[in-house]
This record gives sequence, structure tokens and C-alpha cells, in this order.
Amino acid sequence: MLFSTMKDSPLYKSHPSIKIISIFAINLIAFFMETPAAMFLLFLTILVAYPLFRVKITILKRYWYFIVILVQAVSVSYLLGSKIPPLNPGGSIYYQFPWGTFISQMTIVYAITMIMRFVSMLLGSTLFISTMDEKQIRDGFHSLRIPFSLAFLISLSFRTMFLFLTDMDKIRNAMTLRGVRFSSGPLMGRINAYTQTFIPLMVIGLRRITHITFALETKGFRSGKRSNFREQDLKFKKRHYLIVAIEACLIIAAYILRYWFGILSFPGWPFVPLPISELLGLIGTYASPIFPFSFPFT
Amino acid sequence: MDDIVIEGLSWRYKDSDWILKDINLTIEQGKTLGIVGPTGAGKTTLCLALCGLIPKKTWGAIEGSVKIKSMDTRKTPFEELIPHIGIVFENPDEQLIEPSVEDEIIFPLENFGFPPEEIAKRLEEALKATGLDKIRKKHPGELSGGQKQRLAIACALARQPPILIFDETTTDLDPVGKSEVFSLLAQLRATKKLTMIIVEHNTAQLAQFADELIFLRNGNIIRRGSPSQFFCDVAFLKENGVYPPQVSEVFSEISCTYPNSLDKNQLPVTLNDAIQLLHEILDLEEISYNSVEIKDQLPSTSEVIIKAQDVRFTYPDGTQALNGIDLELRKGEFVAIIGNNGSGKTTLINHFVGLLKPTEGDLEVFGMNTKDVSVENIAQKTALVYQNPDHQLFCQTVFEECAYELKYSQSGRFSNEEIEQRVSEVLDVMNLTRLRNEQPFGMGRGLRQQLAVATALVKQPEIIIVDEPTTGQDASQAHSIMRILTEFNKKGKTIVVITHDMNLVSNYIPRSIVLNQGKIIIDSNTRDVYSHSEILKKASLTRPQVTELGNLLPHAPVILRIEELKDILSLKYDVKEAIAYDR
Repeated sequence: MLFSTMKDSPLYKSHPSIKIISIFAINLIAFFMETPAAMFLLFLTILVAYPLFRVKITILKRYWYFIVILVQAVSVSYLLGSKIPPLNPGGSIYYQFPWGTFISQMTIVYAITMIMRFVSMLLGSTLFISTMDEKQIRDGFHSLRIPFSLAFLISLSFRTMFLFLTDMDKIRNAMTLRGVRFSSGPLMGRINAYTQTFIPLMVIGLRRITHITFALETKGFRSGKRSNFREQDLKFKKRHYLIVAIEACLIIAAYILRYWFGILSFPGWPFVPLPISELLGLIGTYASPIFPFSFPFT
Repeated sequence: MDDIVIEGLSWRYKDSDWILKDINLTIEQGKTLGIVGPTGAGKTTLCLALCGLIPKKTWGAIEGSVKIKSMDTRKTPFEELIPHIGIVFENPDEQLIEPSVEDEIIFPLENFGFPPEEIAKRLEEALKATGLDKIRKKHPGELSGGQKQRLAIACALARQPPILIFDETTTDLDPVGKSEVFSLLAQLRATKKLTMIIVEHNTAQLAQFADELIFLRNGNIIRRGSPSQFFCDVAFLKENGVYPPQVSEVFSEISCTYPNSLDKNQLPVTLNDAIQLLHEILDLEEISYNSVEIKDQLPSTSEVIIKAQDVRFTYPDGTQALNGIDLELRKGEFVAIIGNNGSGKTTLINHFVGLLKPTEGDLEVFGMNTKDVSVENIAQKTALVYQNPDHQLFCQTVFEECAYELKYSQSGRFSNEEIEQRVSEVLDVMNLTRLRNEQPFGMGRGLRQQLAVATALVKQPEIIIVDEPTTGQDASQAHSIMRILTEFNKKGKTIVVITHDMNLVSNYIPRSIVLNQGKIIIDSNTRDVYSHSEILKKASLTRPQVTELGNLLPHAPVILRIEELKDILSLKYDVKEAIAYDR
């Protein structure tokens, strides 16, 4: 798995479907928030949740390098591509780019807010994923009425991601020994070095997928007549419904505050109310090429 | 009754040449068939055809037929075929997908719709049969290589299919791990009367296990017979990349020297048979050995290039991989690091190249403390060849792969002409010249491994470290790589090899370091190391057959090579008259 499963955490024994729903809830709430103060509060809450639920935040140490790169990418993209004017007339614009965007105090705050959003989503998801093993992930999705084969593939993707990252480490080490520079030299050289890792990574990945597929086929993965020896008691109890209800209320509240009242919007950002039908329509427009049925709101 | 009938089978993958060509084969119920052949012969492809994955789950073109229990694999749905077959592939990490040992065994039983009571019963049987009952709750990631492979076998076994296929299941295992797997298979064969098909490079194990062997080369079956018939033509096998059991080779040599001593067509193929025959044909008298000189390379006195002082290393998850390593490697030495799976061998060599730094103790490479210098500094004088060559190849062509370091990391040092000359020389040595413009990932595993070695040789480092150079290689390729490394060593370069292949160590490597649980338990010349059988046993290592045979000779030195045994037997012993060896 991506992380060692935190079996000491009280979250470990909780219903896996609730954990999966919680991951979606945190990500949606973070998505709806743009106010720096609210985002900071969410970020702090998630940070505090780690020691509270006895999950070590150092489990992310292994992936620190990727997190830093992604944070850098997020900050650069928002700094280079934002046009948020200063809050007060006459406020400073520090630098104007030839293509029209600029860096101002507000764009810096916006970039920091987006970084907090990204990190909150990451930490929030990690908090719950680290307290689930592959079987719980699979059982969790399956009890949410996701077909078993799809639920299994989702859980398998976590394992293969871990193998992918292990391979990435080995490939980087091997290339470093052959003189490839990942952390020194010109920027383009370093980008090129990372690009070169994709070749062996893809080859190894494709070979692994083939072997895993063969193994699954010979274990009767799609034989179609599956029994269930290990079915846990995954029926929802009252407290589970209560948790889901609370999370649904939080999501709806975040949506309403953001899109109906503009309270969670970024200060100074033009606010346009977005009714839920339009939001669903937007989702449908983007999702309809992927799903075989059409959304009713497009 | 025949469990499997193959008639005129030919197969090619999409856009490739024919891999299998006109295969005709029948496998009787309850029999064990061994498949040997050089790398790229089509052994794995044949296994896929035997279990129905070809043609049902693989794109390609098929001619002929494969019938499993009278079901034609072309016409019968795969879901109807697979209940009759279990297959265990080479790499257990790509077959184990559940979070615990028992979940892993339950998974296929659930998929095939067994009722819960039946699943419970079969789970216990499979755990007991494979000796995994005490670790049923463990995560597969925490198991040793041998345990993982036993678990993969347990998964196949739990369904109790009448036919089991094992495709190079012992490749990554230490010698004792290999023996454990084969002992398990022997037990299964005796108790369950299964039909088994085993692909294996380790002919010594196969010889004592298979009822019949076939030799596959370029997609054709070119030889077939019982083990004693199969291994009697030693020259043919070696020419075609397969090394027979050492005992067969030894007695083939004896039969050539003493033509009346034994029947050339019925050579022993197992160690026990060989020991028995040796007692029958030799008068084991006490004789001196003055005229038989067995020379070992003297310990090197050159400068120390790697020095480890009480090196300890603990991984971030708390695993203590090295527990106080003290050693010195000198310039020009050829050293083997051997030990059981998980003993710390790969961790140690990662320290040598600076990828890991000791958590305690000091390691100096060319006088530089690895804690104080970067990997790039150490890499200028060292080269590491990984066990999986795919981890270190990334260029578009074979030539570019070899030229990369000369062009870019040491830029300015070599002109284009010098680069061309160096690369061409190394490609020639590695027999890769004809492939210089090929895409590395389009080549077979054995050729990719050779290319990985070539990329190390071309930069002419002071130390070359090779991690398991023989994994995925047939015997002939393995020996070829070892000969090339020996030549490189003769030029004054230091070579360090990690391997499980005790035959290769005894044939090529003068110094052996044995690791167990992160400590060195013996560090001496190979002959001395091989004389300590109890220490080797502790490290899950076994001695080559020729060493065990030589051990029977009173007052004989420890024998490492077939030539040594041959010299001693030829010169010193009186061989009894011809005794027909009846099996």
C-alpha cells in the first residue's frame, strides 16, 4: 500500500464506507472554499486531526519530494496566471507579465490559499487512506454499491501506485549513478532528466499490468460466480447515517455560502451566484463524453 | 489418460515472429513434465498456452490446438478451462494482491464461487500443506521470498486443480528457498497425484523431480526424454545454453576417461544417485595429493578501496538491515556477497555506491567517507548493475545507452571518435554489435541484462558491482557474463557480485563474503567458505553438487570445480571395472 496501515488509530476500525465518504466530503468542502481564513481553518483542523486520531504525519515523508514539486507547480501557475486586482484602489501591483496577468498582494494571497487547499485535500485524504488496507478500500466501495470488479481495481490501484513509486525511486537512483542530475544543474536539464524516467517507468508499468492481469485471470477474477466468505458486517448503523448526514450538511453549507452568498469566495474576486442546476449542468457537460448516459441537466 | 494434448501448436504475438512452432506434446495424468531451454525459447509462452491464457486473453495468431482435459482452448470459454488449471508465475509480487496470507488464499476460492464451508476447509488444508499456518495473518509484503512463493503456490493449490504449472518459480530464491519449494512440490505430487509442468533453469532440482523433460529452443521441442536420458548428452545441452546437473557432467567426464566404468547413456542426475554410483565404481583408498595442485588466488595486498567500520543501517520503517559490518575490499579483488533472501546484501552494495549512508559506523570508498560526499562523486569511480535491467535503461538505442555517460556526465572528457571506439569495443565484447541501433526495451530480458552490464563496462570504473547478474539468464548467458567480468577483473578492476548461484561463485569468484541477518558470518577465500557447510546452512546456502561429491573423497581438499574433481579422480583413484548402473 501507499502507506503502512495505521492499525493503532481509532479510525482503523470505523466503517470503510464512512471513511471513503469523508474523503470526498473533505475534498468537496476544500474545493468550495476560497476564503483564506476559512481555508486556513480547514487546514489547521486537518493538521490537528492527525495526532487526535493517532496517525503519524511522517507517513508522508516518503512522498515529500513529490509534494514539494506539486506545491511549486500550483504556486507558479497561480502566480503566473492570476489577475486579481488589489483590494484597495492604489494598492501595489508588484509585477506585470507581458500576457496581461500580474503579481499583486492579492495574487500572492490567492496562491497561498490554493496551496493550502491542495495540501488540505492531500492531508485529509491521507488521514483516512492511511487507516485502510486494500481489503477495507474494496469493501468500502463495494458496500457503496460500486461493482466488485471496479472496487477491487480501485484498491489494486493503491498497491500498484506504491509499486510505481518504488520503481521510480530505483530508476532515479540508477540514473543518478549513471550521471543523470536531478537536483543540480540547469532547470531544463533537470526537467529533461525527469522526463527520461518515464521511459523505463512506462515499460515496467505496462509489463507489471500484464502480469497482474494474467494473475487475476488465473485466479478467476471474472468468473462471474463469486461467493463471499469474508463479508464483514458492513451494514450501516444509526451513527453512520448521522455522520453521513453531518457531512452532507457541511458540503451543502459550503456550497451555499460560496455560490449563493459569496461568503466563502476569495475577497475581491467577482462573485457570480451559481445555482445547483447550473453546477450540475457544468458537471454533465464535462462528464457526458465519459459516461454513456446523459446528465438530465445538460 | 492424457491431461494435456497439444497438436501442431504454433503461436505468434501480434506483430511478432512465430514464438512457438509446430509443438506436439502430450502430458499424462499424474506426471511431471520439466521444460528447459535458453532464454527466449518460448517457455513462458508455452505455459500461457497450456493454461488457456493463449489464445483467450492474449492477442496473436494461433495454429494447431491445445486440449486440456479434452477441452479445446480455442473453443472453450476461459472460465470453463481455468478451474482445471493452476499456474504460478515467476514474480510473486505481481501475483499477491491481498493484505494477508489467508486473504490471498481465500480470494481465488471466492472468485470461483466455493461455498463458505468449503472455503474454510480448503484454506486450512492449503495453509497446512505449504507450512504457512503460523503466519496466516501476516501481510505478504512482510514475507521472505521463499514464503511469498509458497503463498503463491498455496493460492493455486487451494482450488485443487488437477493440473499445476510453475513458470520459473524459484528464480529469485536462495538455495534453501529453492529446495523448500521443490520439497513442497514433491510432497504434493506424492499426496495429491497432480499433473505438474515445471519450467526451470535449475536442472539439478528438476532432474530429481521430473518424470520427463523437454528441451525448447526457438519455439521447437528439439529433445525429449527421462532425466537420465536427457542429461546424458552434456555437450549438446551446454552448446544450447543449458547446463546439466554437475553430477551428470562429472560422470560424463568419468565415462569418457574410463569408457568401461559406466554406461554413458545412463548417467546419474541426482546427488544421491551420484554418491551411490561413486561408491560402487571407486575404490576410495587413502592416497596423497601431491601431484594435484589446487591453486587458489592469494589474498590481495593492494590498496584498500572500500573500508567499512561497524556499519549499521536501519530503514525508516525500523528494519535493521545491517548490524555491524566490518570489511575491507582491495583493488583488483573479485568478491561474491552471498546469503539468504533478506540478509542485507543489496543494502550493503547500496552503501558502497553512496545511495545509502550508514546510520552508525563509517564507510570509506576510495578514502572518501560516504557521509561526506555526494553520490555523484562516488559514481565517477563505481558502477552498479541492478538486478532488474529495466530500472537503468532509458535511451532510444543500444548505442546511445552505452554512450550516455561518456557523452553527458563526463562531458568534455571524450571526443566523439573516442566514444565511438569505446562503445564499439564493449558492444563487441558483449556480443551486442548487431543490435546497436535497436530499442533496448524491445530486446529480450537476457539481452537487456547484457546491455546493462555493457553500460557499466564502457565507463571503465574502478569498481563494478553487479546485483544478481544471472536472474532471468540461461546458464550459458550467465557464464558468459561471468567470463566477461573475470576478464575485466584481470585488468585490475574490482568486481563485486551478489548472487545465489553457488556454482558460479565456485567457478569464477575467489573470495566470498557470507551475510546473515545483516552481519558477516564468514569472509574468506571461496574454498575456505565452502568448507564450512554449517555456516552456509545458517545462511540458507547449499554447496554445489561437485563439492558434495568431492567431500566423499577421504583427505581431498574442498572441490569447487568439475575440472578439479576430474583431475583428482583421473590421477588418483582406481576405478572398478564397468558396472552397468541400473536405475
